[in-house]
Amino acid sequence: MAKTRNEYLPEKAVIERIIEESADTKTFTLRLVDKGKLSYKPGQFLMLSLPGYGEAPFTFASAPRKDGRFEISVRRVGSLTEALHKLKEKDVVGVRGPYGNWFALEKLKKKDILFIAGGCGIAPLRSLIQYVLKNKKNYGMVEVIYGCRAPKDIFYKDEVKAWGQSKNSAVHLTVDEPDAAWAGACGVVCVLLPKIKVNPKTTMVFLCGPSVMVKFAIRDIVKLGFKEQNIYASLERYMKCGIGKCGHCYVKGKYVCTDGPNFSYAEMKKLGIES
Amino acid sequence: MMKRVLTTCPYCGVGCNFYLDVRDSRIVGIIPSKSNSVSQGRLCVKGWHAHEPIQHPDRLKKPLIKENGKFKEVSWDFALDYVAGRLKEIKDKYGPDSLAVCTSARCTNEENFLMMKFARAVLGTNNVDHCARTCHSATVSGLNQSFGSGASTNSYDELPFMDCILIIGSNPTEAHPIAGWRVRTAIDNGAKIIVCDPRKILPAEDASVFIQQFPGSDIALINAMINYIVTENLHDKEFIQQRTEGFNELWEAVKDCSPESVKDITGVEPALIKKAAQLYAVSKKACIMYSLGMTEHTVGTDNVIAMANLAMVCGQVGKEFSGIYPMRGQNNVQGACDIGALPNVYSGYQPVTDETARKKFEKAWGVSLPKEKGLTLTDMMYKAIEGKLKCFYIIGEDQIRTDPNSHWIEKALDSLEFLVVQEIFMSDTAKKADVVLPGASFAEKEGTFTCAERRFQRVRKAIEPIAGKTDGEIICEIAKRLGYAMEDNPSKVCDEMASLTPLFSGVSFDRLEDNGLQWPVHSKEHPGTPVVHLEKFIRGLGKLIPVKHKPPAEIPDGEYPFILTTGRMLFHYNTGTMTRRTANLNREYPRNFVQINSTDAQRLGIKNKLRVRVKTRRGELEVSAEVTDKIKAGVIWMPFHFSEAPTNVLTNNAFDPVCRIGEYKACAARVEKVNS
Amino acid sequence: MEKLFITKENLKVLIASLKKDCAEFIAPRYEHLDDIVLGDTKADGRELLNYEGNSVISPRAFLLPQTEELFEIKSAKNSEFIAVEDKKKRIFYGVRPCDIKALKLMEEFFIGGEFEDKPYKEKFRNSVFITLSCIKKCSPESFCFEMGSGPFAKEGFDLQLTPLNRGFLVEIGSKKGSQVIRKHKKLFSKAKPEDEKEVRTLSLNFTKGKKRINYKRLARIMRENKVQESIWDDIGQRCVVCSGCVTLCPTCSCFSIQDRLSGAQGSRFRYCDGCVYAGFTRMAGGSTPFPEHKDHIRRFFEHKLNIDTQRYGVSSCVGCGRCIQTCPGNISIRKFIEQAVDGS
Repeated sequence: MAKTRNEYLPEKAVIERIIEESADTKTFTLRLVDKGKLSYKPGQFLMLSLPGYGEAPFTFASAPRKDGRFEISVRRVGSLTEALHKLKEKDVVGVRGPYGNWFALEKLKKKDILFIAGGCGIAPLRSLIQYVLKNKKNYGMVEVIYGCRAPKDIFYKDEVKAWGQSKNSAVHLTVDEPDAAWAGACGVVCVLLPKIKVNPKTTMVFLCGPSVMVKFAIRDIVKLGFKEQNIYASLERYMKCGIGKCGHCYVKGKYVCTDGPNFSYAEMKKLGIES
Repeated sequence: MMKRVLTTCPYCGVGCNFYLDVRDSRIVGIIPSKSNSVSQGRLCVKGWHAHEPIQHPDRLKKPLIKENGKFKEVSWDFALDYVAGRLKEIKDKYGPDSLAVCTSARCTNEENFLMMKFARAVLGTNNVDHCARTCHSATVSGLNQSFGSGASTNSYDELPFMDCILIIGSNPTEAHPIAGWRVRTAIDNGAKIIVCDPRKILPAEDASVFIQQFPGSDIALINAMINYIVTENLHDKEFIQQRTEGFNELWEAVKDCSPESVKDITGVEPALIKKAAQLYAVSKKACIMYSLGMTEHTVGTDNVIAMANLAMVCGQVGKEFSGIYPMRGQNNVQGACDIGALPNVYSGYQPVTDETARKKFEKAWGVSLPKEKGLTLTDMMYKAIEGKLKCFYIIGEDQIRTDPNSHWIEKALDSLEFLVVQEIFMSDTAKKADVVLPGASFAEKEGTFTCAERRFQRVRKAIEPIAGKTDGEIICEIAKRLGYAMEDNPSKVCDEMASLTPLFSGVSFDRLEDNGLQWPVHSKEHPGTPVVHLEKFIRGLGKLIPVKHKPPAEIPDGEYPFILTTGRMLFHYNTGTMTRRTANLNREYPRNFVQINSTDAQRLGIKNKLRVRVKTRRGELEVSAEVTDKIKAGVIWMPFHFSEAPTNVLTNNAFDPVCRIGEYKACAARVEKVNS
Repeated sequence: MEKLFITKENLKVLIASLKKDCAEFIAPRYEHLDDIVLGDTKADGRELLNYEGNSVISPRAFLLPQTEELFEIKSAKNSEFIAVEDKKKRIFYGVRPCDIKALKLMEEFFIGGEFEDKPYKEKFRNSVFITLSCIKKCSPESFCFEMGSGPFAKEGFDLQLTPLNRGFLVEIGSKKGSQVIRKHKKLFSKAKPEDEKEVRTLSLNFTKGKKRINYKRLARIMRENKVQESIWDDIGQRCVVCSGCVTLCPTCSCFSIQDRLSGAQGSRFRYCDGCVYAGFTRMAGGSTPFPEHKDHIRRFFEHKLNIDTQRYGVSSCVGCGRCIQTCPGNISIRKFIEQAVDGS
């Protein structure tokens, strides 16, 4: 019998850096301890393991790097993320992956791209945003719509600002609860749609965020003439294995972990899901 | 090594059996038993996961003694010597009645017998009680007055064949799911269901009549039913004549209690009461299922009597397929009562004040026994605060989390000189103890549990005790150190129990092998008794006792406008020490919440899942709101399984004057929005 | 393939020999009263050579146990895991054809596809399955013939025995099976034509009055959403989330992973989980794609009766009837199938 790999066995990864993005979210920079490099593509995710608390999926929040370092942004919502937030630099966690499909990079060449993110939904999109901005010459106009609850909840603040400053790109921000210093837009992400410059007919759209946001944003951009097959959403589901076995993320014969987590709107409609 | 050990489920009082799937001394799963007459191959979600807490790393493994406020692990010998020494010291200094023992409805009959023997024969006090005080003591005191026996009159397997099931203050689907299965089967067989509950529980969805009365108005409701039944001439005159006494007195008490007259008290349309009364009275085979919704009131005993009255007036008791089912809450709460872990009776409800009974026990145990009734659990708390009770030995119970008004219980426990707690997990009560002795779970011992249909069933050992000793062995070791030898072999203890107890003198381990036995079992040849009170009631004639509506100790007012009522949910069990340590159960409901009617919520600006503060005169809690139409307006409901948000800091320690049960089911409360 | 024959006496000799060759001999045996449960009879010899009914649990309980230690956590702080391997050789005897079909589907699920499930694969590959075909319906609830999985297994077994008047007819289903035969040649003889004739009679008796369910049509009905909503409402109201169905179902494969630490060390377990729980799909923040309870059971039925029929070409409900027998809500997948097909 050929020796098969035990997919469930985590590898050690060391936390090299921790950045506080907001009151409840931290970004961790990780690196594998024993084995060279974790090679992944934007849109994929990993299973992060914290002994005593189990495992949970996190999408890579940074574009693949030569030095093998990768980032994940973690919002404190449950016991595992709570424990993760207590860790310090140089602490060790378990990781396995990468898993899942990736954003359709080959389809993007020369195209305009629109990103729509809500809250911590910016994290999975960030890896693709970094990737396309790094290779900007291959792509057309890049626009990012990013909505948060309050100005203090905006992740990657300086970086987000910089995204809008590269050539042929724009960033539009909105918050639900502005503070005194906020001069930007207020309300849900859809309020920013009139501002975008990209051409609906040819633009690729990538969305990630709370399910209500994804649902309404898709509805509105379809109305603007964006094509169903050009709209991709990164879905979030409860999952335990990441490899299509545990069954939690299963929906109508598809596994969000192996068939997704990135689905075109056309596929989502077929599966009867809106977000 | 692989073995399957058939045993009885450690959760509710239904008494399902299953096999523990043991592989190499690890219990890996549960296999249902089709041939067990109680569960018939079915289990509820708790039963299916009963193996998970057993070998949980949080299990207490070593005895602990508190030193300067901190627990220190000690050897068994050291701990047992220490406990025995302190017990003796306190007994010598203050007398035997300064000590009390709280036994456990989670432990086996044999262990409860040893504990009550330990209290009476070794410590020399009748201060022995257990948690039945806070669940079905009203059943024991109520049904005993009416029928002469405080237990279920009939068997589970009659339920599917009923024409009418009146479910009042009980949620069989959630609290007793395998009894709930039989209700489901009865519905499928065409039975008519009457549900009386402030909440629209699942059987109410299929009910012919759903009555949503205010908590604490049950006597008014039942008396109105009796009033209507007699007025409409639907009562069973022959049964009343031949089998009961006191009808005239009863009629005197209910004759003015028409369905119309109780509308304000109960909050129920008279037409619904009439429909329910009619249905129950004219059905050929009808029964009443009730549970803590009836007993946990200051009028708990009277509530139970009212139901007995209703059953007797309609002749719906004392025969097959008609009777009263008090759904017992814990795996062995029936047994712990039967075995005499109560301050006033020995095993089989033989009064301690009865000289013949006492002489019999004195002779068997070779000591003289105390003549006076002991303290109830409730009164032990009062006496502790008064300074009369000095020492409390608690086995497998978490009073702080289960008794009403936690702050008061904490005060009582703090007043003690010496507290011993025997537990399998570190509970809030155990944290208060001077000594914590690590007990054994159901999977680590031999013995018997008695379920709510009076059935003795075997508990069988699957693994060695994790901390080294069973609860029975611990008690016997302490007794030995106090100079009294007790037999600890469970089978022999069972024989001793049987030899002293006419009610189940025919019980022995070998006779329980197949499917147990339902007491009364009067001899080794007696086949057990599925239906009691058949020819006549145990007390002779059934007694119709007039009872009148009395409001709960606390009624809503301007400051506390809601009635707070509490209960158990499907996925959790009591203080949650086991279910909160079971992954899927805890995942379903990981935190406390309060159910509130949507109109009330709207008025207060409360949204579903948002945080609210629930306040009573005794305490306050922050929980999330579950806004629903399933609960009556003006009433709020909370479970009590969450030690980090413990509902019993809110409940009222007002007690029934007869059975001393606390009023968990009705107190005044207010709900406030929490601004985050 | 040529069919063989073994007498009852020789079968006992074969079993005795097989037992020497395995760590666990898993066979049906009586537990309490008439409970029949698959268990290890290597040491006690309590296996039933022939029996009526089926085991309360299927072989799944050994390949995907209710709880199973995947890793020893050597150091929580350093995320050091050591895989717990189960390399025991197991011989399963007396497995019913419905359960064999289930194993075939589970093999495809756990071992086929992009990722292999090593803990399952290891146990499965180290096992030998000897089927005992059914000459009598095992329970009033079972409907294996209707679902195309009984009374005889068509594939997935190593050996299949059919009880006859004079002994057992033997079919070989795999290399592992022929190895067993080769090693014990003397115990077997060629089957006689009358043996095969007897099997045909048995088969006719078993299937008399029964009709196969057109599960492809059923899948279509479900895919096109033609099942009346009131049926789902009723099922949703009946289910009390006991989890018995998903625990006993021979083709349920869902699980969760959980750690238990005692200080700095401990174990990572996986345990059987299933779609009947609200928490099964609820995310850490509390939102869930399936808020209604009836949708949880719908997911279960959809998976068995629609999705898997599309994926494997056969339904993954094998008609063993276990979920019906154990349901405290009296839900019957069989009745559901009838209602769905009739109502469309």
